[in-house]
Amino acid sequence: MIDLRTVDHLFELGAGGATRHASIKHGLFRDFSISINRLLNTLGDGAEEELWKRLLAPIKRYRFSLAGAPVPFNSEFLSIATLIEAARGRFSFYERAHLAAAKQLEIVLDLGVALQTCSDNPMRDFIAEQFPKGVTDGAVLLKDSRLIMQAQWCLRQHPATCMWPIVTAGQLKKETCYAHLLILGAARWFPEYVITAPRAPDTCVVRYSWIRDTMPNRRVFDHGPNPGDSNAKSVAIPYDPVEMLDAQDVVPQIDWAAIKQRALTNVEASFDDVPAKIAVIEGDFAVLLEDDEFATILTLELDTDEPTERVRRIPVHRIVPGMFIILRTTGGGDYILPIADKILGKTATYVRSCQREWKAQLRRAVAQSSLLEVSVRLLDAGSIRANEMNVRNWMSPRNIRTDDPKDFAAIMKVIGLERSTDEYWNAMAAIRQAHQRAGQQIRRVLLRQLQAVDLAILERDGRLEISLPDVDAGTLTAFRVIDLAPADQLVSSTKLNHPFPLGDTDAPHAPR
Amino acid sequence: MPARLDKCATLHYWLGPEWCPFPEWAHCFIRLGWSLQLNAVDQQRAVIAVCVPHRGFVASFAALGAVLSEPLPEPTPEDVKRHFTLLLNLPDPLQSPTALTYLHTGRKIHGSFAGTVTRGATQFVKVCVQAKTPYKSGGLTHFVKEADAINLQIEPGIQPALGRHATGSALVPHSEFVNHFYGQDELHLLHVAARCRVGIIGRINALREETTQIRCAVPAKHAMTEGVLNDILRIRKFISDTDIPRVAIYGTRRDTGPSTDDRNATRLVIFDGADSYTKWGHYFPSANMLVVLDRTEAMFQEGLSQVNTRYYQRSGECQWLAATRIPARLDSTGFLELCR
Repeated sequence: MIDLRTVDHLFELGAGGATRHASIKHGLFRDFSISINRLLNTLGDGAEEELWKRLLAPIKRYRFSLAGAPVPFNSEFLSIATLIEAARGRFSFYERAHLAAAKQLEIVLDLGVALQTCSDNPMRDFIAEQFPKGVTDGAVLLKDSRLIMQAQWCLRQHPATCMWPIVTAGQLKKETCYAHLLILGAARWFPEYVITAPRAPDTCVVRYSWIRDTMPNRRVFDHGPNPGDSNAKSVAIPYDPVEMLDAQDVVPQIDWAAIKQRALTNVEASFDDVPAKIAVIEGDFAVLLEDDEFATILTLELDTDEPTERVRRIPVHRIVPGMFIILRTTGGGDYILPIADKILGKTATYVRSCQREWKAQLRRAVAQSSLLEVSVRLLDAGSIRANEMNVRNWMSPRNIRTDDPKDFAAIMKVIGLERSTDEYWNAMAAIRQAHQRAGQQIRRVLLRQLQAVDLAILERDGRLEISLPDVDAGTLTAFRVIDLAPADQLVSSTKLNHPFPLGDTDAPHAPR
Repeated sequence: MPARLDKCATLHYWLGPEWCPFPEWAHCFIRLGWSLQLNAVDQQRAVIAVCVPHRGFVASFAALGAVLSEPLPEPTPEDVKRHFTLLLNLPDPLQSPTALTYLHTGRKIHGSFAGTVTRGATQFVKVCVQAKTPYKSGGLTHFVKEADAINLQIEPGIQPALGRHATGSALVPHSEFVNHFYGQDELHLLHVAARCRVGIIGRINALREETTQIRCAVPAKHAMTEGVLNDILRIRKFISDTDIPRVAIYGTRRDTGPSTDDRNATRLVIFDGADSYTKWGHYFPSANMLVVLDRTEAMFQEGLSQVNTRYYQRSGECQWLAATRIPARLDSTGFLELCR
């Protein structure tokens, strides 16, 4: 239970002084970072070509990781030595593609090699210098949750920093407060509340001197008794008058085109394709979520009023970055199916074959003519809701049956199974009931399992595996949604809800 | 009435071994709730939005101010007559039964309108308070005359359900904590004249804890007089059936909105968080609104964007907002818009 003193403290912190800024200088890292941008400027639009994109994406990601974490430049975890070696081996390709850019690339690679042999860890050294005696009530805010373990390990190696815990932005929504909070990288990399609803009286943004950053303005309303400057919602931080990179440009952008290409590999358009949205999720994964009006997905909410509301099924179109979605990570994407079959018992084989049979027949009818033609034939046969979209849904294996018996009877008539209408309808009713019971069962077990789980870890890491020992649902994993693709595409329904790994070219870091 | 607001200045809360005065921001939200409930502009409503670093207690304090601002006027003879006429004209109980509550000898009795009767020159409203049995027993009915009519209230939207017993439940006596804010002459009126005109949409469990478990107190002659915020707020879900609710509460996640009667009766609705506002912000046709936007909420930007959009469609400025002295560090906005 939250008490008034805690809330009062949060209000006090909200009214506190300005956030501090600290600038770290490191010549080699600055030269490397700036050289990447010079290369990008030389390439211009050519940077979007596959040849350059494949090379530059991991390099940019390496720069971003180092710019926001207390890890040494020669960290094995972040190493790009192999990439540099490979780039050198193919240097003639780059020269042929763009001679001027290749010259600039050579500089980047040379600096990259130098950086790979440098054991400096300027961020950790900064913390140690600022707090030489160490602190017990401070925290370090990290943008890239992949680096939590490495960063924590590095901090533990130094007596002055060994007590600093690593937190991520989601953890700062809670009431836990610190005496010192160090925001690594740039303020613009994080949600605004990190600055505007601070959880520490001493909040300091620690960034490299070559990063140009701005602070969010606490005034957010366009007008009011204390109006903000509506033209300038953020406050620029003073910086050194040398070559700078904008904080936002340092964050690797999600390459939606590459992810889409990977997601849709070897898939031909078919009638049972469904509209889907790509979601980039924590841990360098992406997933295709059905984006139909009625499509729903299981979510896990950490900031809920009622613990029994923690697991909820919500429409996919209401998913926003920062939410947690629950996906099956072993045994296929659909976790309802095996449990529902278990509930159906011996009848499962029969009713599933009925389901497959009428859907296959319907698909065949569509393949032989068209969605429109089948819709018209269904309407003629007495259907009340037949249209192209509904026929597509009825064909989908994810759909069990029509809502209205008249539509189902029309389908059975059109596909030549009219005599078995009642039999099939009842079989589908049994499946539907089993699915509902399976959903309830999973929810119940999930809620029980979550009681024993430290949700702070999920908030920090953005990912948590939950095994359900009592039900045969495989392993479920809660993933934080990093970002959602701006546009939908049609995909085969078999591809839905299966997390797939992102390659090196797709960095899961949305601009806040 | 402003005396009640002044008395809030003495509110304390329990902090370890001692009582601690309410923080300044708490008084700011009490004042804000007070002003929002009192300031009504013809055909327009006020919308105030405030950004906070944490939404804890904000809705509770604003509701406290709103409830305390409500006048509890002694009904005039004209009021009583009008109320009695309303009761006399209730629809035929056989065709459309009406649920009533009757405050009688310190008890609250649920009943059903059973028609009217005239004895001599006096008219009575008949209130049946007991179900009839097959043995021709039960069916206890009170005859209520005009002078007593103020103790008889219509329960809109409820189907009358009579029980076997006609004794009702004893009215909960008001605590010393409540007496601090209301005069002795007002205590009875809390039972008969108080109305539920404030609504909160938010996190029911959190609000329950804030209003029923946090120990509050006001200084008395020799010691502190203790109570909880809900002693005054009387939030509908957090009180017994006997109490007269003064604040209605709705969960953000509910699928159906408040009833039409509730929506029309509400004069101030407090949205405890951007998620409440984005979901139910257009649901109340004429109530003043307080939108509490927690900066850490996932829906904060969406809520903010909706407030800013409504600002550009406003019908006027909220002149009295400055008088509530919302601290500059809590960004806020306020405007008037036409009632729907």
